Amino acid sequence: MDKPIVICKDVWKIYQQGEVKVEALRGVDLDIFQGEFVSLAGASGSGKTTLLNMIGGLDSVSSGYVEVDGDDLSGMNKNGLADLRLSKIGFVFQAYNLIPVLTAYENVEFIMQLQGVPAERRRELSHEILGRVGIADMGERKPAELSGGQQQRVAVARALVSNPSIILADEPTANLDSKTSESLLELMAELNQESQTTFIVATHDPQVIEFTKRKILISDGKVAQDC
Amino acid sequence: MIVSLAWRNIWRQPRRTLLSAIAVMLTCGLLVFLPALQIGSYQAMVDAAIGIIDGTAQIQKSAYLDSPSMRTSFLPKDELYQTVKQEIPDSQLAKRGNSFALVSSEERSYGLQIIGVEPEKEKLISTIPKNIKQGRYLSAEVTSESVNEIILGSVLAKNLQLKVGDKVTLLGTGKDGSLAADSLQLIGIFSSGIKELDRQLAQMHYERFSETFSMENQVHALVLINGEKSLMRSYPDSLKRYLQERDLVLRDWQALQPDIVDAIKLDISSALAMYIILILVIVFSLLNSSLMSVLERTREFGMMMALGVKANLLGKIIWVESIFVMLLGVCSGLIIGAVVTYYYQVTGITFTGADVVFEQFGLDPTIYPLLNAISLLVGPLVIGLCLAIAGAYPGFRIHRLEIIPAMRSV
Ligand SMILES: Nc1ncnc2c1ncn2[C@@H]1O[C@H](COP(=O)(O)OP(=O)(O)OP(=O)(O)O)[C@@H](O)[C@H]1O
Ligand SMILES: [Mg+2]
Repeated sequence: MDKPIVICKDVWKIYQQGEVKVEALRGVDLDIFQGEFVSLAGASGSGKTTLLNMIGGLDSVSSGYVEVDGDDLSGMNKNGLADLRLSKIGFVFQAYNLIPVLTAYENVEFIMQLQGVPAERRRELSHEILGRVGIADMGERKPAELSGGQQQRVAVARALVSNPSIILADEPTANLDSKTSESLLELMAELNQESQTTFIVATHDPQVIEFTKRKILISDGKVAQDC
Repeated sequence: MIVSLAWRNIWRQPRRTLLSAIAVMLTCGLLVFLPALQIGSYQAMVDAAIGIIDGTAQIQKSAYLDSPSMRTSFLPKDELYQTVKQEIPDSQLAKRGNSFALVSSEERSYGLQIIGVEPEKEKLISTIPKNIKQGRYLSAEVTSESVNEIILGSVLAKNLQLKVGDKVTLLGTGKDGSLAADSLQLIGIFSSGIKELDRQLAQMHYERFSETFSMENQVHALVLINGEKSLMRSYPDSLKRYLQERDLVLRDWQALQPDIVDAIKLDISSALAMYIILILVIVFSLLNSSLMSVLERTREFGMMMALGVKANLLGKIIWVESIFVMLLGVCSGLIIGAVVTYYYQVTGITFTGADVVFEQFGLDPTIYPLLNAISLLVGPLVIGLCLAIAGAYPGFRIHRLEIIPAMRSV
């Protein structure tokens, strides 16, 4: 098999909260390969979000090693990490994913513009991708004029549009009803199939866990189960 | 992209943006209007002051200002007249001789300042010919009959208990030190509005003055008619040099009226302090509202940074937002300030209630603000600059933002 696209080796994250030390991650070892659709499951407070943040380069590890698509994150400064996130990682958060003053098209194009994609190509891609996530006719709407599910679709479209190495989604369905959740999951699975983009979804929603091919259970800051 | 994002962002809180812009507009408008009003009132003050007697400028002996003695006089040659005429078109020169003398009626004697003048030209310089309360001003023509005319200030005439038509005796010293005595006829009594002058000033024909005080056709001053009246003085350097070579000097109104210059300077510095406070208030209130708008969007900025937007870019967006609000306010303030100022420049502003004070200084209670490039642009420019600089600060603070806490905040 190929080299893993995400490598975590003995990753620790310790938060200092006043006098108290919180060990959010306690030695995570994990390899994830190109094209996988992975769920990170676990109880609340188990460390799912923390692990996702480490992989996404949003925060630095206390000790251990994280590599994404060949880049060692520990050696990077703020700007380097920002560039890495911009070019290699797509994010879908639980909520407040979108820039409120921009339309759906513009939200999708915004990241491409930062990446230096020419205007013509941006238009083309943003129209195409909104079509693929099934909201082609809502491109001119601002986030406030879209439903929660539609907003998440725009977020997925934005995450996907510039062909990142991985897409990280933290509780993407937490604010959605089960029907909308399911269609969003189906969409992600479909996109995963089509584009071979790696998806890592942190969740405690059984519906989501059920859906994914590889299920990783996090417990007390460690990988408890991987199947 | 920065620009359109910033523009849309400021309209997320239209009320706040409008209030901020209006505050800038008002400050800016005030900073256009008030300096114009100041300049207008200074001009009125100066016009009034120099219009009473001094004129816009005088050619004198260099030493005359410091020691205005009888002997510090000069002969006004034709060549001098021609040179001045060449250098300052439409100008004329009016001769003046100044002396102090004792004046007596039948009952009493007082000291006075007597000025020998050319009456027709005085009408172009001074308000005294217009302010004759009894009798008339000196005749235009100097004839054997009119040459002994004299006019007196109203207080002086009253003190001497003189009426128009009475004889007046002058006793003084001539330029050569000889006794100067003359007997003249009172033909008019003036009231200049300035007590000081009404108590001690008299005017007579220059020809007779020259004779009486042994001036040998010399003068103490030549008053420049149609000189530079505006607050900015500018006379040709070549003229100054010409005069300097002849031990003469052109004294503009600033030199003739140092008290007014001091009063204006004092007024400017206190006004300046007020303007600075005004600018500080607007800068800090805008800074505050900008910081508030940044704080409210902490989560959004955290999200954008998570996506890979750098703090620098966010800082620029925030800065451009401040610039937009500033531009809205400054541009509208500039226009409104200019329109209001121009309106009052045409119609004038009357300070009712303050008339008494104004009249004391010989001022018209109606003031006409004066719009000029400096008063129009300096205030708005300074405001714009201060706001542009201060507006960068919230953008710098973004660098301190940590992504994860920012995204957790509400
Ligand atoms: N900034 C922080 N400072 C201190 N402790 C933190 C911080 N962030 C997370 N923690 C702690 O680390 C542990 C793991 O948190 P994390 O958010 O990763 O859990 P999670 O699995 O995502 O939970 P949930 O399902 O509720 O989202 C928790 O005990 C949490 O309290
Ligand atoms: Mg979480």
